[in-house]
Amino acid sequence: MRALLLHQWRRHRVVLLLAPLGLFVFEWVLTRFAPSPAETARFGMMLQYLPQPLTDALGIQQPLMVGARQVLLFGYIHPFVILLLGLWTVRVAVGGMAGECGAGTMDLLAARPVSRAAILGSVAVTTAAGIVVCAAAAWAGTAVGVSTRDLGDVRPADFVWVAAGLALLFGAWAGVALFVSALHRHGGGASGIVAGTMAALFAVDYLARMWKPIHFLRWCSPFMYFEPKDVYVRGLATGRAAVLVCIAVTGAAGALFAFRRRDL
Amino acid sequence: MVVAGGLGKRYGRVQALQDLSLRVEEGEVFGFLGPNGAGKTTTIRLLLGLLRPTAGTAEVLGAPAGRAGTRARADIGYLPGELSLWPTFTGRQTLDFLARLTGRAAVDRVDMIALLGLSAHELDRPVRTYSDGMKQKIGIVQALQCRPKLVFLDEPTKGLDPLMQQGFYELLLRARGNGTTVFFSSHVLPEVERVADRVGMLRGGRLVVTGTMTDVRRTQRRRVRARFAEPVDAAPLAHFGELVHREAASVELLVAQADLPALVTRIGLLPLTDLTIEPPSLEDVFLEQYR
Repeated sequence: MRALLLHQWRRHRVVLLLAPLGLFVFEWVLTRFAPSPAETARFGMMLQYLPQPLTDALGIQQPLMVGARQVLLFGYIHPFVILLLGLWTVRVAVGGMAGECGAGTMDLLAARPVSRAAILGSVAVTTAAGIVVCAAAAWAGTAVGVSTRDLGDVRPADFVWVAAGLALLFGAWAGVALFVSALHRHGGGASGIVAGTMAALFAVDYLARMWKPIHFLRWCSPFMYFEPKDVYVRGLATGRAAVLVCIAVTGAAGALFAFRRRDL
Repeated sequence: MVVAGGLGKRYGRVQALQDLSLRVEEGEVFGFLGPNGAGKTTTIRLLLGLLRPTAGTAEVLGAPAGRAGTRARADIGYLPGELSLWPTFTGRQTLDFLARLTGRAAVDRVDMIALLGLSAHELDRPVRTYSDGMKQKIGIVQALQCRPKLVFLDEPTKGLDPLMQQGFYELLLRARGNGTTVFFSSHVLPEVERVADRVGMLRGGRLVVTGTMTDVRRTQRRRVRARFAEPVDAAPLAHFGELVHREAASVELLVAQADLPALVTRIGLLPLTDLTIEPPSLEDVFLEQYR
């Protein structure tokens, strides 16, 4: 298992350095753009000019009340953050099984005295570790930014659970990616399916927020179960966290079931 | 070492392998022959547990092939027919990683690297810069470096130049000397003839011939060439076997071993000047099976 983990590290170390760095910088930059208490009113007036569906989609009920906290919270569900974490999740979870099969290198791994469960385990652990590192880097970006700029009563500690929720959301996607990867013979096809599903469900969640008639569709998107604003106010809701954990565990269990029985 | 009974594999409507039963004994070099698509690679992948059989069973090193045989694979080396390596790894990193995964020391690596002419500089280059031949050398080393009890080599000389092929044969002899059982597939007949103790031949997913080289040859017809002092009527000779070539004063026949004495007696009645009886080469056997 240790050798397999080292193998994963060697394959993905560049991305594992760049993705957290990108998230750190992004969240830090947001703290530079977030309005200080003195700038809140001016910022709110600017937001008032946005179309209402868009402010609804951004979860802004009262534009004049939008402060640094809301801006920083939006940073945890921003498409750039989703893109970077999605890239990591798809790359590792899919690359570790379907990718190795497609490249022909799985034969060299699976002919060794390592079980398929160990191969899948190493992929799952690496994916999860990378997600945690990425979420921690995002939080660190917020923390460093907030600590070095006066944003009123915004405190770094308030964002710990938000980052944890972000990690859970991508833990769920990792489960989906592992399952798809375990069923496929080529990394390209499996990546396309997972990335396409992720993009489609992100869009569904986004559109359903803006357009009330399809609001009910949100339940089918894992993105619904991570609302940074709710996590900030009420902490990580047990029910929503449970749904994300359930998706992750079911995906991983399904992947194990499929991967142990398939032809390589 | 390897026991397969009624092994079969079907991909949808395609029957890739059918009712394969064979036994490979400890310490022998078993040559597995067959044209492309005969099922050689499928057989090896079934024995390694990479594929699940649709019929039959297989045991490798006393453990069932597949999930239950995970631990036994510490004693197995494998060179895939379509070798792929991680392009960003260096040759050395690849060998280190695969030895670590095997869980055994790479006791024979240094000797093998020297024999195959891989330099330290080459080993420290990323695999993506390697030629096919160099990748194949890395593939051979990774399969044998930990001195496995059993090694599966699928088309091992593919991509190797003739000089390196000689090095590979030498390496195979050394491996056998160290007690390694070798199961190798090939369609290069001279190399199988040169190194194998026993052979198995596949045709259309079925094992059609198996045995020692001597056994296999014995079952095949001899090539008989006779030259005469003057033109003769060769028609009576055709009763003894298959007339494959005929000129006015010479004939060439394929004759079963049992019919040889009668043929020689008959030829002796003719104005014979030269007679040669050749044992069948593996190529003859092969061609006869696949004709």
